[in-house]
Amino acid sequence: MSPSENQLIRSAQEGDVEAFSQLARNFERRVYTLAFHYTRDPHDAEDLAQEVWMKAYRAIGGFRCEASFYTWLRQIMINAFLNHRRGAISQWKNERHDSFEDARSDEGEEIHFMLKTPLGSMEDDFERKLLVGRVMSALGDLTPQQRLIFLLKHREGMTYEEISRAFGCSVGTVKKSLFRTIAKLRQQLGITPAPLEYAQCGAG
Amino acid sequence: MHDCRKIEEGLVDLIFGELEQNERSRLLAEVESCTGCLSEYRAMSGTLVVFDQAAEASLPDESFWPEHHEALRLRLERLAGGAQVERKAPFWKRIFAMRLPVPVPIAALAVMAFLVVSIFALRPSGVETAPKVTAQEPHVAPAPTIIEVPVIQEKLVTRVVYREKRLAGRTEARRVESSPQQNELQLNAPNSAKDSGEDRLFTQASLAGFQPPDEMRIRLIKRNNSDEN
Repeated sequence: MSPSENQLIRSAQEGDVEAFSQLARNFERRVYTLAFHYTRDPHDAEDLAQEVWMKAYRAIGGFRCEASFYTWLRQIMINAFLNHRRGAISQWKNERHDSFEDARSDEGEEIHFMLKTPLGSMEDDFERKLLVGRVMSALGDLTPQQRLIFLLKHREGMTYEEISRAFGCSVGTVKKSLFRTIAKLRQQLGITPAPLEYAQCGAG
Repeated sequence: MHDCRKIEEGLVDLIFGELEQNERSRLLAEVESCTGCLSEYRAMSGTLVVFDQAAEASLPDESFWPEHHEALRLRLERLAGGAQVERKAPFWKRIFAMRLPVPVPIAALAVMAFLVVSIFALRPSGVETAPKVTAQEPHVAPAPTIIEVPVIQEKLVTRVVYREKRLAGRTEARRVESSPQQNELQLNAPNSAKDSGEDRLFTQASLAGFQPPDEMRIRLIKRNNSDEN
């Protein structure tokens, strides 16, 4: 934890809104991005991200610096996400799902093309939106808990143990959830076992 | 012995980097030895790559973040303002706004106990009230009522007193018996009025110099029937 972050935390604990605002600036992109992938709707993501920060501001007095600020914030985020009303989540999916449904017939071939080709070299923006739509639609087919476990593992880099503690479940449950999530995403995105010449970037 | 099912269970650990270096190397070598497992592994890794590409592409552009931060800052300021007002709230308001996390059954029992105690405390008891009534009785005696009647107009009363000259002795006694005031008047009458009309049966008495007394004395003279006879 950097000294400046410590100082900001102390000031925020004394009620300094500007200090907390500076603290939020350091992490607001991560929070919003996770909220967006969780809700799949920009407006819901905005609301959810701000809700997380409001809760963090109210609870900052109880932060004891035993863990990093972001670790503490992430637990607030997980609780806020799981308590977020489900009805507000599926708007993006409902709007986008139909428009991309027609393009699914030949998506396996396109996905292999995307695996081989960097996103920046795509000819136009349409293919990018197409890819985003498919991935978001695939995320929408997961349960909120599966989606959050996957995002925390893959995007946030949390360990099995950290996730199991946050969710109050076993490590085995987390592993099973991740396996099923990958399988569902593969199925929704139409990714079959690729020919070896197209799968160069997959092996890591 | 290569077991594809067992390898598949370890693929999640492999793609999410949950294995130690030695274990990772051993599993990778085994995956590469089987075309099916290698293809499965690459498909799973490819899914994550596609997801990452889409995730990056879905993020808003740079113009979004200042607006996002400003909205957050405004909400924080509003929240802080509300919290400040709450801190300045008077004590009695905080007492009324106070919340205690009490389980519903315990709260219900507490309310019922309070009601029962209140009912027993407010119920009138005959043993206790009886002495109170007797003790209070002397105090309940009606107080004397004083009625003040305003005098609207003073009234001057004049009275003509006639004295029987010849039968003075007898009449005097009757007059005193009937009206002591008249007697006083007579006693204070001047002598000139007494002497002026001897031949007249009655003489008019003058009230000049009459002063009404502050206190009145009534002398009752008992008369016997034998006196008249």
